[in-house]
Amino acid sequence: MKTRSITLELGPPHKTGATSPLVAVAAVASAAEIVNESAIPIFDRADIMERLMDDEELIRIAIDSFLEDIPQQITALQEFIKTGDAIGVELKAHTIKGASANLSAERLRKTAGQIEHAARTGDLAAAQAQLADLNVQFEALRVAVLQEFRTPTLFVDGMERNTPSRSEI
Amino acid sequence: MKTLIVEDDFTSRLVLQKLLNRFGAAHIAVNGKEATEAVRLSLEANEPYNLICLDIMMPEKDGQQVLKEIRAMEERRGITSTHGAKIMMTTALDRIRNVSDAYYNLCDAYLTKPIRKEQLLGELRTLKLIS
Repeated sequence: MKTRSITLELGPPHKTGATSPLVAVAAVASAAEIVNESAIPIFDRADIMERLMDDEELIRIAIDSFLEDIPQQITALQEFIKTGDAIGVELKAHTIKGASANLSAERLRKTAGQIEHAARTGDLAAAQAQLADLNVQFEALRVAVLQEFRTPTLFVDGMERNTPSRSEI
Repeated sequence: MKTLIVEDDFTSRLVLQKLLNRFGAAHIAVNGKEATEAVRLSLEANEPYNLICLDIMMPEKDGQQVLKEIRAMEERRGITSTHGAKIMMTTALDRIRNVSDAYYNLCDAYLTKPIRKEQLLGELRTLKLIS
């Protein structure tokens, strides 16, 4: 992972608008985080290939199901935020995080994880602040995945979307 | 091998189902309530599941509660946990340390997510469900 090195010169404190060493350290950490963010892959093809042992059928199922399902999950997440349901937000973000991990969608996974954490601490304003990023990252992921696998229209053959009927159990 | 996959995430469900379908019927439950109902019906039909993949963090009824209920159902029919279904708890990698002790006595294995095909096949071999 490549990261740019960041240097920040600390001058002597001024009476007004002084930058304390602690604030400066925080600024460096924050800037480093921004740089690292861009270093996190949108889609890590090598990782999913390795995890699913180059099983193309499995990978296609993972991609198809993810692209079909996650927009609905994001919509539900937005609703939970709107109604102030912190537990709902946490669970939904957790689901999006898990699904993103399965697709090796690292940037989306990280943002969903941040929303999950914010909801767990009851900070729905912080969760809402991440929503736009989540949507942007999902769209970027969709483009990246379809470019990688060149599969604009895929279907999950023979797989059930919901629970089997009782007669099947 | 007859399997029940209990998982609220669509992608995980389908990937697990596709993997496990290769070894026999793999049914799906999308939450804890459906899971206990599926297990109850399978026990009543005398066609119990050999393997249950059970997600820990689910809405309404979580995996821990479902695990207890499944073992209780088996016990009522005189099936001890060593002879009951092999139950594999699935959880996010970053939570595995928090949960491993809690389920130790009732479940047989853990599967961390994101799903790794090699890990899953390895666990199935360890549980002697596949050769």
